[in-house]
Amino acid sequence: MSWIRLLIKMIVHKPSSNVLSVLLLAFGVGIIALVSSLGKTLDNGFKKNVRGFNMVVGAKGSPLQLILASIYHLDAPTGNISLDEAKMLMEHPQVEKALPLSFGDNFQGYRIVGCTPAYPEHYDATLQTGVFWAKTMEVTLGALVAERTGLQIGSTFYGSHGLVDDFHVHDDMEYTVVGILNPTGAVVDQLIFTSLESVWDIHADHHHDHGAHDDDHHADHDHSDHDHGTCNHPDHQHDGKDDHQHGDHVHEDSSHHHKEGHEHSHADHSHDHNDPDHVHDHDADSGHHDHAHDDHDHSTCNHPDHKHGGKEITALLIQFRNPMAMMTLPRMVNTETNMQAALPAIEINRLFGLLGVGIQAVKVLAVLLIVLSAFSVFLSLLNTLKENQLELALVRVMGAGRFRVFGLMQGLAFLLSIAGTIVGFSIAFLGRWAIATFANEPYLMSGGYTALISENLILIPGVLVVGFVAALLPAIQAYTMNISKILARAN
Amino acid sequence: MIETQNLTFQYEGGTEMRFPDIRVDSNESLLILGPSGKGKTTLLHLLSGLLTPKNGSVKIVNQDIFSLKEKDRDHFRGQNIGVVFQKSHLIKALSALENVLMAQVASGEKTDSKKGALLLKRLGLEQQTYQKSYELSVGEQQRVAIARAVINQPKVVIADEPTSALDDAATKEVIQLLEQQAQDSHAALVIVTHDARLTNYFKNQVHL
Repeated sequence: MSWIRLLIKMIVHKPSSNVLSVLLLAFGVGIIALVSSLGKTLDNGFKKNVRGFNMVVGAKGSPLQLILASIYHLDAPTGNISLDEAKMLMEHPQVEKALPLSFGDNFQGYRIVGCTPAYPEHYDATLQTGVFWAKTMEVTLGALVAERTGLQIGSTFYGSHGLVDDFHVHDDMEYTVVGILNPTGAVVDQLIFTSLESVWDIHADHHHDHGAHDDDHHADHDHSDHDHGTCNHPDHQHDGKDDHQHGDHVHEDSSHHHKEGHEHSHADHSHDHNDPDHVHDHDADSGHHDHAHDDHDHSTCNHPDHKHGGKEITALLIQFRNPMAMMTLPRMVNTETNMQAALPAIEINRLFGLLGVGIQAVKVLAVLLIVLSAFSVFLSLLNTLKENQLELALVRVMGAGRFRVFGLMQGLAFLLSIAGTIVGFSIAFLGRWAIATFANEPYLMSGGYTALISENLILIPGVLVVGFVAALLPAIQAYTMNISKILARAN
Repeated sequence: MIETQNLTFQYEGGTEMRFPDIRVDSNESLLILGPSGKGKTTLLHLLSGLLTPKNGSVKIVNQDIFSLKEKDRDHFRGQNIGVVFQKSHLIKALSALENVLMAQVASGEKTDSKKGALLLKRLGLEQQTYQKSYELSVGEQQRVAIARAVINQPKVVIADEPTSALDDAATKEVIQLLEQQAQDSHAALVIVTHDARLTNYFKNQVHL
């Protein structure tokens, strides 16, 4: 027998009011821990993956979209830029490092990125087995891709068009796995790497085969219609073309998946409409299949696939040679070229500024929960004191001093607080695990379990102080109680 | 042994109460008789140091308990005075044995569950050792309370109306148990009651 045992027995003996206190505490603690851990993981994931890139250059559109698409591979790209124009930047004296990326296809949802080995190497990725891609249609897999898809060296697969797993397969060009990378914890784990040429080839072929392809699968489909479906341009209205059932065409998928981007690209496109070539294309659309290709080329804003004269890339990741470039290069790109320059630092801060408000609001709510639980602990202890004052008086008759019964009340609060904290962190762990396991969001998957506690250590003394304060009045009442009176009244 | 001298007490706004001097040696018993309202409970609380007298002293084995600081007096009581109340208040969340052992915990003694179990066995409660205290009958609860009062081998055992709720047979049994247990630990036994039946059992009596 001991004091601790007495406390535990007292709590277990009448659990009802204590359970409420523990649960309120637990949810307060759990929500704070979970939300801050998720915020931290996202923040880390985003900051870690910038990896010293100062600027991203891509097609005009939303700068945030360009960053999300090119650095994090989360959003659809804004469009393509010409390789010739990009080369001008790559050779610019103020550019330390420039990595061209070309993407637009996926395998089982994992993006296939055309690039040079310098791109994964920038993220310190090393080969686990095999080699880096060298020839066209060879690929090297990020660690996570290999783990999740089960692809091995020598495996072959077909890419799907677009950036989400869909049913339009490039079944004419087969990729072969030649290497697998070690895990890095960075975005490159989730990517499939191939050469820029592979991406160009596959879409060049794809382009040429288009007629035949459509004949096979969509008898009443024509190119002009297909093209417009891809981008959902409100200004590409083709009156009287009722037979154009392009809603179910796979190309639709990749574009309407990302609404924000399109709002931005519209401006760009409507601008293009003013140039004479384009007007011509428009006319072509109203029925001439032969001219449809021009239009196609223009309007597939998300696909790096259609090249007519000059190779295209999707984005260019740039590291500056010196900070001065920050002042001049982005402005130059934005004003003097058809391309857009976006700064990761600025865009990510903007994104987290928005997210931060939400995270803060949830945390405030959770703190309110903890305050509420303090009231619950307070009332529960007052009740315990009222019900058990005779027992406490008895404990004093048996030799315990005043301070001991003060300690007993505080001990009850302490145990409730500890229980609430433990249950709370368990809830947070469970929630974290569930999100990592079921949400399948790459930026929420990476661990963070120890951070869940280590980042929230302050909650433990915090909750104990809350419990102490809540128990203060009941404990003082126990301390000052008149045992003679209580015993006399009880008989 | 326990000894009082010139004990007086006054509740706030009440009249002063005077108590006759008493002296009980170890292995001896004293019956304090008196009708309700004559200050029986007050005297019991004075003897056990739960109330502080206006004047006079209470000495237990030559220690004036009111010369001790409150904290020390609490501790002294836990070690030297066993109190049995009219209603044997037990801690409901605990078993019979745990209730007995609480007396050791509260007085800062090492707990000795063997000793506690043996004591319960001697009081005829072997079967009830691990039973929750609220599941016990009133008579069983009272015996647990007696065991709890004597587990620390106190110098004085004070019982407050131990028999008022019992029939004649049970009364005799409880008195015998109390005397037996008090003698086992060489304690002085003081019984405070209005129950006139007990006059037959004790040769030393004080009337309030």
